[in-house]
Amino acid sequence: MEHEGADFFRPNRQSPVAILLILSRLFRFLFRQFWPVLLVFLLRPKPATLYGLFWVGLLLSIISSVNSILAYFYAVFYVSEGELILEKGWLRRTRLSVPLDRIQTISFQQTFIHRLFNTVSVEIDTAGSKGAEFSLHAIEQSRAHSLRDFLLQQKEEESMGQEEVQEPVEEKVLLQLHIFDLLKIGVSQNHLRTAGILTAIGLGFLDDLESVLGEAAYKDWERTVGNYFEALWWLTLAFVVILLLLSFIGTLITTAIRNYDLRFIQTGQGFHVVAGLFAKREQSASLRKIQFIRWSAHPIQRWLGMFSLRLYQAASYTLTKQKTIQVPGCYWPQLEVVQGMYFPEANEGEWEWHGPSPHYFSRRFLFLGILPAIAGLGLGLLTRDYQLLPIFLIWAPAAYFWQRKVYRTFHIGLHPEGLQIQEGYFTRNSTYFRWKKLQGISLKQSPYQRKHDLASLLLHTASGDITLPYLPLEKARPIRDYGLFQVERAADHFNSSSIIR
Amino acid sequence: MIFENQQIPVSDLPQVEEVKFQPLASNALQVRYWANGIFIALLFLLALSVLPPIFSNWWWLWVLLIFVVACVLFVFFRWLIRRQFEVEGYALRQHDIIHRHGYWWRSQTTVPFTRVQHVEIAQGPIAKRFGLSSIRVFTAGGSSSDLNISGIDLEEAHRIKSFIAHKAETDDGA
Repeated sequence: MEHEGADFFRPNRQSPVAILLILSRLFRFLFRQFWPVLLVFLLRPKPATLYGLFWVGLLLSIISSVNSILAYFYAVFYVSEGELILEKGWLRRTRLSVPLDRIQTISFQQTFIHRLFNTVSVEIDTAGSKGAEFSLHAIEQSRAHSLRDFLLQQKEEESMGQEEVQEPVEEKVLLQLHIFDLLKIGVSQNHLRTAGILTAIGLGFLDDLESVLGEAAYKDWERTVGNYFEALWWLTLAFVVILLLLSFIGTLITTAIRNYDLRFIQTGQGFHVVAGLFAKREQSASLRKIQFIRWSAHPIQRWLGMFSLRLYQAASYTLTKQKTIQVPGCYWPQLEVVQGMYFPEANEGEWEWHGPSPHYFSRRFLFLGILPAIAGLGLGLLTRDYQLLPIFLIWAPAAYFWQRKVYRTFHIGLHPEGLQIQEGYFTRNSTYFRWKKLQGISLKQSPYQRKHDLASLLLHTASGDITLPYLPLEKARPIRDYGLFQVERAADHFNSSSIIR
Repeated sequence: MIFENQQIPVSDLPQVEEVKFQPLASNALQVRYWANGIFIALLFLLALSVLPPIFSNWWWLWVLLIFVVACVLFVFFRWLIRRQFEVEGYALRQHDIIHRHGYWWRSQTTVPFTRVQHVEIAQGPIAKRFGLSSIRVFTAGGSSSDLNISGIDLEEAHRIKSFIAHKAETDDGA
């Protein structure tokens, strides 16, 4: 019934919108590369060499347009013998096949153009195998949904033998962000990052301006500014204030757009996030694919009683970042639900608490506090530039205080089913991890650690590593052995455990 | 009855420390010496072709200097390789494979067979002359948890590969 005329056993093409998307991506790329040339071209249409560049650009875009149209006509996808196959390319033909039972996640994305034509782009991710990601630029929304249903249905038939897993998919909206929440999230975002980006763009712009206007003009401009040296301080101050204001507004707007109408939905087998004003993003995480969960709260978020939640999903190397689902602006009740689903045993049984050794503090204080302070002081004295000296003088005690707090707040909780990490002073992070998600484990020792009988444990998961730093060796070893033991035990119950959710 | 959660005294768990590590094949050391020698020689030639022409007046001094530096590097790395070789080893247990390596920075990585995605055997040009190969064990955990043990007899590597493949299948309970 879901097929609606689409037969995925036969070669299917994407929606023609794909041409538009490939083109728009190309032009955006070209524009980013060539905008200084264009600017010069518009400002002073004289130098003859630039004409050459312009023609090259034009030729390139024509060739690429033809190429993208051909690419559209030559790309087909279909399902055959338990594999999803994508064939593409007209000069060099490639064939990508993904076994249906290896498919991990199927996600849809909508950019503004997608929305105009009621299409989505599809990304199909397989875990483990390298570089076998499957993506379609554009496909009609209804067809995309029936493709997803079809693939999941086929996948189930492929991996038959196991009893019906199909629970009735009960959807429950855990969280829906309203305007006021958006405002709160916007306020608590990292404005410094935006400031950094703005500065980078600004500097990049100046850099481009320099190459565009020629060095002479730029130097002249610099000198003019330099002449008003006393005014420079005020200028800088004003600049910083404006920059901060702009960053604040910038992040507010971008977060509002990004998380507009965010809904965090609990489905039968996992979670689902839908959000976005112009580009709608839809991500889902099935419980079985979630490797570990982490939530964090920095001082402003703590003040607002909010957390930012991340669900780390299994994904192959390149997509790791995109497969991490982030829900900003969660409150306690949602966290409790998520934790309850991922780690239902967390509230039963006992947690055994450990912490890193005091050497963790002394090393971090040395590397982040003393050494930078010495380097800064030395450099300041050598160059006789005493302006920054006070900063380096306060640096060491500040680092001492800070690292002391970091060390004191670092707690590792062990449980028969997994572990949790509580850490961070400014930003507090809570991480929950289950042993059965462990892929491998490394015990590492630096020369210093060897001397003091310490070791760091790296827990490898399908979504990145979790580090337990500077444990006494007599603790690190049993933790590793225990983790390995639990993996082995989980393997014995592999089939049964996948049936009970 | 899906899982029985009996208490297990941690001291009763199988411990990695009790494992005897299998050292690499003895001529693996030769392979690494050769690789080191070739690398330093190339570096020497590169420096020789770049630096003396710039300082044309004192070119012989530069040649001498580069030569001395190359010798020092060669000896140092030879020493380090020897030390690393003595530490490096691997062990196969009933349910996992362990790789230990590094001289200053020690590392011991354990990968349970149930987590192995696939195993690969590779052979570089120098290793081929000595009949050696390297074995790579891939997991879903990405490059940080993948094992790469180089310097194993080709036959031995094939045996390990089929052992792991067999274990990975049977341990899955499938």
